[in-house]
Amino acid sequence: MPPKKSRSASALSTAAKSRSKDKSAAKSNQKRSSDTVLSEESPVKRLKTDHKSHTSTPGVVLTVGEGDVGQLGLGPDVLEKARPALVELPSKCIQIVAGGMHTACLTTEGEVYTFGCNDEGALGRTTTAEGSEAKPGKLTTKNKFIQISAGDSHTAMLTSDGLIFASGTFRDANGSIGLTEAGPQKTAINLPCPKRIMKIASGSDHLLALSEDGLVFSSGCAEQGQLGRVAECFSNRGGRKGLGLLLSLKQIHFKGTKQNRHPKFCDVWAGTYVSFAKSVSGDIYAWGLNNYYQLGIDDMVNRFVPELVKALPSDQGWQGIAGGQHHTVAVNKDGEVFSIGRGTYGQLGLGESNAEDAKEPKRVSSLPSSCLSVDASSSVSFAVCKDGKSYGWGMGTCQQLSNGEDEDKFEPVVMTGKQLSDKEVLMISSGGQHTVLLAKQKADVADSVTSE
Amino acid sequence: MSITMIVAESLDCIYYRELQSVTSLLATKMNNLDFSKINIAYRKGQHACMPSKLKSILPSTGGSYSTLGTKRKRAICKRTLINNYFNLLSNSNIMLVLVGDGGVGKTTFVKRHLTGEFEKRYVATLGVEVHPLKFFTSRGEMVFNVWDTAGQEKFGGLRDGYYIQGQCAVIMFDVTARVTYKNVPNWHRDLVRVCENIPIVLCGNKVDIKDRKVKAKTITFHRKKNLQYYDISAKSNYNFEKPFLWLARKLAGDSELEFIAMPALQPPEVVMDPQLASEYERQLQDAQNVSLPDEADEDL
Repeated sequence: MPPKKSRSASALSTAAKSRSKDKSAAKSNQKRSSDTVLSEESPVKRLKTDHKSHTSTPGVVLTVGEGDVGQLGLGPDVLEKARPALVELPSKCIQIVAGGMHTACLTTEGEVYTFGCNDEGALGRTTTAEGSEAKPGKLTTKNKFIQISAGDSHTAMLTSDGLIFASGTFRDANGSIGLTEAGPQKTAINLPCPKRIMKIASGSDHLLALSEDGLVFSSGCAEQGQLGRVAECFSNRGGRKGLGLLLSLKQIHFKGTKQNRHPKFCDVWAGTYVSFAKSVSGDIYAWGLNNYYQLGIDDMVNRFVPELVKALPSDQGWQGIAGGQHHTVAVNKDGEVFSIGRGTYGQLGLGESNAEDAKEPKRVSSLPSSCLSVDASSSVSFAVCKDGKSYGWGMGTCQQLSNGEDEDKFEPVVMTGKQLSDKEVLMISSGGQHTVLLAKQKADVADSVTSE
Repeated sequence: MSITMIVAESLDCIYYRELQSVTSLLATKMNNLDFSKINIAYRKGQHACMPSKLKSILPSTGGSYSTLGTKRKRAICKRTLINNYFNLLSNSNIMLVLVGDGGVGKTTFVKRHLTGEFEKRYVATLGVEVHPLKFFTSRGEMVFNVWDTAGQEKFGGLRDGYYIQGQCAVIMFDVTARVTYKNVPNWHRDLVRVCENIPIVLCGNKVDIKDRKVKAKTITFHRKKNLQYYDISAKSNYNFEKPFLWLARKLAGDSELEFIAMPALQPPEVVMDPQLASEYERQLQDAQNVSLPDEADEDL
């Protein structure tokens, strides 16, 4: 950790302390500190927040799959693409995320462009003009963002000051529940959080935030246990405690191990209905839906509080975990990909003869190259590999896999297309029916290597 | 009335036994039917075929089983087939599977039908509520046993046990929150995996809401998969009977089938603007005439 950042964290804690002067009991102290939430106006000294998940390599945005609601960003008349197509954006992007039915792109200037379904405000901009949903549009805000994340009906953005902005709504089994207690938001608003955040991650209908001092916060729908801090009896709209319990960013409490009673965390990941967190010591904790063993816990019981996943041992050095609807893929420090959960449509990538549900992580051995990052959604999985190519497997109905067919693939298949032929894939993000890629020209591979 | 059933050799003897039990059930169910006149022929080395008379009232699904591969699939289909015979001959009790994401209005939709709501029963083992929706057709009474999931869809998809025995299905999404359209391909895949080629209707609910942005042309999934699509509005009863009529026609194999009396529905909570309704119908008609994008793609 650079000294610059630790100073900012300590400055923050003293600020919090000074505000809670009369802390007689530890309990009241805790209550008080949760009152002092960071917001846009907080007079806290602002320093840039940093996390290894923040990206900086610029690339172009490609989309493939179904585009019924404009999530491909290719205009109102392009309803599907069997191969990746170039999305016209005014500048290069450093991050892309695919929500359920929409897409968000973060440019090198820290601006956010969105396109796709805006029925519940996920785009964070007005789209009253005919066809304006299907074309990239810029969010009007004075903030510069460094990271974005998107769920089914929400988009979240992180500023360099560690503040979270979001628009849209969360949904549960009975429909929309609002983004905050104030209801769905058509434009991005600040989500107050007691700590400075360095990473955000979105599941279908929940948001995870990792603070600079290693704490994890969550808000959204709690029905499947994905918040990790709401008991099952309160999971339906907060029960008698009301929606406020779900819709404000609150800290998740972890039951530590004997060696480490109060674990701090260095990374978080969110799947459709699941959440994962990696502690500083490398342990993986998971919570949420477990009806196909997708948490890596072999009892099919949903977890409403975080549990240490023994099947994902810390010595593997997990670099990334992604969760689809009923399956999970993870990549370790050696670039090996493991999958777990439901295999009906090939989303595990273990071969057609091996499409049974996996109770424990199984190695996807047919990936030809070492994997850098993974992504998953619905019933598909993707991997970006060191060879600059991306591979997809799982359900092919929506042509998300970009291999020219709509058949299911039970093993990784390289994604191809004219746009990809001269490009190196940097990042991949898959939504409900479409896939978004960030790619750069192969020609400047050498340049970027020397600059690094 | 004499019925002859000829079944294929490839379907094993359990099938034969099941057929026998079906016929005895048939006999008890239909008092006016003389049991002695039901013949079952078990012919070796041929695919199942029905006399033309039977064929006309059997669902189009009946023909699918000859292509079945796995044992499990065969078992499922056998059951479906038996149910089809049984139900259609005995004043049709048809299992209708109603699926869709949470909050799209599935329960509101089935509760519109008054007798169905009154006679509903709960199947504890599957956690579903079954609403028997009665319709009076030109071919007699038809009962759609609509299975409502009781919120199980929050686990993203349902266990296969729920789909088994399904003879037709309705997939529903909310046109005012099209993120609920996201899982339509998944629902469809789960359905056809278990139930093979049963007739399926895709319904876009809540079309009464004015600020609806979706244009009919933007929904293409049903056209690719040969499903029927209807705009519906549960709260205003708009097009309530349309999905059932289409399914009834498909199941009976009679495109002329009509509902001779409308079922008793709850009074509309909102009124569908007739101008808006005709506008949607026109848009939908236009969309049908636009051809789907073809394979020619410069990004290939």
